[in-house]
Parts: sequence; C-alpha cells; structure tokens
Amino acid sequence: MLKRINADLSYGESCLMSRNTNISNRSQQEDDVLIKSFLTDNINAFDRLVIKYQNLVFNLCFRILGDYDEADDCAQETFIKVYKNLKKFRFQSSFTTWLYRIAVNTCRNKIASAGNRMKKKTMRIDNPSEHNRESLELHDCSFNPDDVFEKNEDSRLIHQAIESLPDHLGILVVLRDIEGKAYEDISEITGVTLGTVKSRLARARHLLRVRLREVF
Amino acid sequence: MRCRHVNILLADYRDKNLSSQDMASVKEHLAQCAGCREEYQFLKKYRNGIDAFPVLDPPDNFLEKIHERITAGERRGLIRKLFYPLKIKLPLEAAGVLALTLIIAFIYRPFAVNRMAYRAEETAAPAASTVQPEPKKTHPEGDFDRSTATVKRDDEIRAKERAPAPHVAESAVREEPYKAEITLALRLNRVSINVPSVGESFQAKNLTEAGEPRAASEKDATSDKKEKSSAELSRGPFPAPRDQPEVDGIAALAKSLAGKVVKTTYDEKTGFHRQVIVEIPARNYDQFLTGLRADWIVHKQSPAGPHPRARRMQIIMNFSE
Repeated sequence: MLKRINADLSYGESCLMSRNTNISNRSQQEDDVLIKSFLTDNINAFDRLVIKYQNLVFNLCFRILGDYDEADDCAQETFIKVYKNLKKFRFQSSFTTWLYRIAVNTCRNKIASAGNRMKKKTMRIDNPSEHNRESLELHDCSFNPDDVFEKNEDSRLIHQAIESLPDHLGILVVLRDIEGKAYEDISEITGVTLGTVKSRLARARHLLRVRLREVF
Repeated sequence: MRCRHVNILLADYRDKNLSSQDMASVKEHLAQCAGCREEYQFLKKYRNGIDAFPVLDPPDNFLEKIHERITAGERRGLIRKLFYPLKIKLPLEAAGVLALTLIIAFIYRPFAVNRMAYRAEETAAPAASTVQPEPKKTHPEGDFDRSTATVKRDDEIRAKERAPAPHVAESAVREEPYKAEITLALRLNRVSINVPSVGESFQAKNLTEAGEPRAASEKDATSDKKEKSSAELSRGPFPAPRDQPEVDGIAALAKSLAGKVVKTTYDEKTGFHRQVIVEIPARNYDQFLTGLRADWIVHKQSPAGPHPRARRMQIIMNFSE
C-alpha cells in the first residue's frame, strides 16, 4: 500500500514537472516567434514581449535594488537594451535567461553608479557604526518599501537582510531563493562559474542566518 | 539519520518533495533533535517570508516610457554614447584633462623662453653699454696683410670642416641637453676694418644707398686692395667669395672660443656670403658677440640672449648689404 502511494506521488511529481516543462517550452516557442517577428520590423512584437515580461523584470529589479523608482528606471533600461540588442540574440539560450542577464547587469551598473555610491556614503556618514535594522531603514525614495511589506513583518525583515548583503551575494540570493532559478541558470545569468555560485550562496545564507537570528 | 543529512533534506521536507520514507525519517529526527528542529523552524519562517513577498506592478505608463526613451535615445545617441555610462565617461574625462595639460604646457613653454630672453636683454643692456669691444684680441693677425692670412685660414677652416671637430667641442655636444639658436643680422662695420674685401665699388654703392656715411669716406682707402682681390678671384674656376676674409674672421673668432663653423652659404650671383652658422659653448656667447661687434654691425638679434639652460649655441648670422 505504502509503495503504491509512493508510486502515485512520484507519478504526480513527474506529471507536474512535465506540465511545467511543456508550459516553459510553449512560452519559449512563443518568445522565439515574437523575436523573429520583431526582427522583421514588427514593433508590436516588442510591445508584446514587454507586456509579457514587465512584471518579472520590474520585480527582479526591485528585489535587487530595493527602491521603486530605481527599479522602474532599471526595468525600462533593460527593455531598451533588449530593443537595441535583440538582433544579436542567437537563440542559443532561452530568451528569459538572456533577459535576466541584461536585467542583472543593468542593476549592477545602477548599484555601481556615482549616485548610488553617494547615497550609500550618505547613509554611512549618518550611521557610521550601525549595520543593523535602523541603518537599513534609511531610504531616499519616493516609494516607501515598508508599505509594500506592511502585511508581513517577516518578509520586510528578510528583504532588509538581503539588501544588507554585499551586492554580489544579494543578487545570488534573489535569483535562487526568490526567483527560484536553478544553479546552472544562475551561473549563466551572472557569468560566474557553478562552483563559485554554490560557495557564494552558502556564504550568503550563513550571513543571512546570522542577521536574521537577531530579529526572528 | 544524522543531523548533516537532515539539514540537506530540510528544504525539500518543507516543500514535501521527499519520498514518504524520507519524510518519516526527517520527522522522526526532528522530534528528537532540538538543534535541527530550531534550524527547521528558521528555514520555515524564512521560506514563508519569501513566499509572502509581494508582487509589485510596474507603473501604468511603463510601455509608453520605454517608447519615449527609445525615441529620445535615437535622437541624442552620440552624446549618450560619449557620456554614459560612467565607465566610458571617466576615461574620457581623464583623457580630456591630460590633453588640456599638454596643450597648456605646449603653449606656456615658448612664452617662458621669450620672457627669459627679454629679462636677459634688460639686464644685459646696461652692462653692454659700459663694456668696450676688444677686436684685436680675437684677431691675432691684425688688420694688415689680411689677404694672405685669409688664404691660410680658409684652408685651415675647410680642413677642419672635413676633419672631426675638436675633442672639447665633441664632448660638449655629447653632454649638452639641447642647443639654443640665435639669429643675427650683420652688416660690415667699415670703421674698424682697414682692409675691406674686394668688390668695394659694389659695396660702397650699396652702403651709400643704405645711408651709411662711413662707407663713402672709406672708399678711397680700399681702392689699393684691388690687385690682391683680383689675384684671389683668379685662384680657380670658381672664384672665392668676395667677403671671405671677414667670414674667416668670424671662423677664427669662433675657433678661439672653442667653437666651429657649422655651415656657410655662399651666393654665387652676388659673390658674397648670405649666411654663416657657427656653434660655440653658451658661456662664450658674450665674448663672441663682443668680438663680432668689432668688425660687424649687429642690427638684429633674435632672441636677445641665450637660453639659460643651453650648453651650446648655434648662432645663425645672416648678412645684409
């Protein structure tokens, strides 16, 4: 009886996986059609790509940057880069992975930009010795992140803890734990080797655990 | 089951992705092990918090903004390429600063030299007025029998031009950081020269035309040298320059001051030299100029004095009638 239940469960999992794979394949085929259509000067195809992926890109940018306006700017810039470089897309990887890579690189550039560095410096001057919760709450943006997480205190704390990580670790945690990407995909998106991805993720989780233990 | 193995399976245990046997094993371990139970509680809270992350909607005009930026970007593509992103902008700025520095250095340097030259002129002017030229020191042969001395010195100078320069001059050339050039416009000083060169009628005519009263008074005194000059002219198929003695005087003067004649330019049509270039140590420049002024009128000098850091100088002398 137990064996039968196990077999049913595995059958159910395999059905679920195969259904997800089918959906993914269908989505990828749809993307390929839209890209080819765009390359034949059909601007509506690009609009459809934007509408399809705007939520994904915008939320990814927000989770990396933690600022609504900057996420908006970065997401727009990501799609502008897609518009300009779509003719270079070789269909060797999935469009989603390519899109993720552009979005992550755009966020990295944003983080490294002068304005962002200045903002971080200002935070450190205001709170030179603090790396705790209060320092993380300092944000100079028109959209308050606390409003986003008002329903769930744990989510807010986790978001702040991820933001407090070094940038190269924070991006990995977002891609793995929030976006649910596979290690191989993360390696392709970030351009970091698989082993480095795993070791960095382990370090990031250790840091997260240390910081969240204080507040959980 | 050990804690290490359980820790690996905790995430899948929470998501119920384990087989029923593993699920039961993990559950049993968690009931016994407080550390793993605490770790599981933490993981559960962390995963639940992440699952509850809100999904934000982008602004309503998201697509319109992208279209606007694409259109605007196509208009100002060049400026944006030059100044954005910052990775490109910073090297550009550095290159700009470097170029500006080089331009300023290039512009400033000639002015600095001129300023020094003018200062030197100002300081040298009162001193020069008190010092009397001593032409006899630099001309050991004196003014007599200049034609025979000319032949001798002419040969010597030509031989030296072919032969390597003296050791002193060579070592100076090797050591020098750079040379300074001074251009002098010279006119023959008829007062101090008793034995003029040949072609006196031509020179006298020109000097008279140039408003030189001394030239007319010297005309008779020079007429008795015609025979020597004609003998000199008949030395070969190419007659020697008619002002060769005076140029030899310059060469002898340069030689006496550890210098040498670098180049002479002779005009066959007029029979006179047009230019003589000598090279002397910079420290002897004042002596050279004093000696030169005994026989020549210097009526143009550019720049006023030698560069303070030059060890050797090339003096370009252009002859005017």
